[in-house]
Amino acid sequence: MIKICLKSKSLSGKLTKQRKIIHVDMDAFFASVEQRDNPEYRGKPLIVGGKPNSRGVVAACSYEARKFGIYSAMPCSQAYRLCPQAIFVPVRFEAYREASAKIREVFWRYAVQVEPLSLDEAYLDVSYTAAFDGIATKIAQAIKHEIKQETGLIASAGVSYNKFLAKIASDMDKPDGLYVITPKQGAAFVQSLAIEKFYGVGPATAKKMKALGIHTGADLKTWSLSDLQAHFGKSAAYYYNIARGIDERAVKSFRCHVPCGYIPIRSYALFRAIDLLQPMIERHLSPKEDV
Amino acid sequence: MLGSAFTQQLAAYLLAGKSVNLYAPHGRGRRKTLDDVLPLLEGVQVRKIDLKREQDKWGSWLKETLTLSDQVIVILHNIEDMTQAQKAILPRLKVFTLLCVSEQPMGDKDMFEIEIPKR
Repeated sequence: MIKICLKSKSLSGKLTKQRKIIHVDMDAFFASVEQRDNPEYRGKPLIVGGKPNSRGVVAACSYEARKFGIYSAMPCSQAYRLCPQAIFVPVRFEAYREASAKIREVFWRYAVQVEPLSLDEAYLDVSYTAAFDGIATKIAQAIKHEIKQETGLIASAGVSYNKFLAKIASDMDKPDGLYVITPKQGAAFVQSLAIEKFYGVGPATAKKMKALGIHTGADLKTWSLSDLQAHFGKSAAYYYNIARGIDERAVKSFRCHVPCGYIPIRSYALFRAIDLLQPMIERHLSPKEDV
Repeated sequence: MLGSAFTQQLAAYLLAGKSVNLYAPHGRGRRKTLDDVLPLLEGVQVRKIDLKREQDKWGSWLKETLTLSDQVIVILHNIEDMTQAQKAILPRLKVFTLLCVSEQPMGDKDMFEIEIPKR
């Protein structure tokens, strides 16, 4: 009888050891699509959203506009006051959807699990990707390069061992960034992080934390779980864990997909398939003594 | 009245393609929040329906929404009152972003869950 050694037990062990997560975030996505499609907008402050004199808000803005203090969600009238020379354009949903679809195709070449957060950002689990010897940093470089080649757009990527840190990493070196937080660096990195930089800590929670004397990850780490629960309820466990660089949330795809061209021979999908098929394979390959 | 920063951020999410489940218990201003958000989505096609109060308008709302050629932001107020048949039709709509408003969080992993803060 042929023995297949790829047991789910070893897989489980591997999964709990170390994951390789990439967070890809497109740089000023909507504005970049507009600048790509309209060369006359390039190098200029560009605002995607409502009209300058309207109640509408800024959906996105170019880096040139950000220099004037403009950011997304700002009222367009305020943005206009800050930068009267800015170009205001309406949103073009179809164009962004199209660009996003092309970007996701690039993701699927490398990752078995892709979890989009919106049109312009996604988590990728490349723990079992074989391309580039499974080196996540090189995979992230390749993804950035292929996105640029195929869409003309720039992405920033964060590489780490969980979603929380990968997301923070992608924001560290924007635009066109690639930032890596290794397992050795993770806990110390979180300690030095300002509390408002924590993903999942919105402005209201940050304000509440600061009122409690929590200004950094180091401050947060000094709090016990029960004390955090008393102030933050069901979110307490998440805060408690991320203060220690722990985030076990899985990257969850909407679809099952085995990438073409870069077949991850050690992929989770393949492990699972072998696990499921093993009894059948053994049945067929075993001497049929009972026949 | 809620802070304008809240409604501005909500509008920005929708414009950025992030689908949202906005929830709050009865009486916390869900309808008012929608009234405040709609003007901020200026320049974008928005199709809104209240599934509790406007069930009789569903047919015409759907017909009109299906004829739109561009993608739109769809707002479904009182999503709890949506029937299975109505849910089945949703994938046929050209939805860019979906805003579902409910009393309890829907637990849909594809949507950002945002609770309307207490006033």
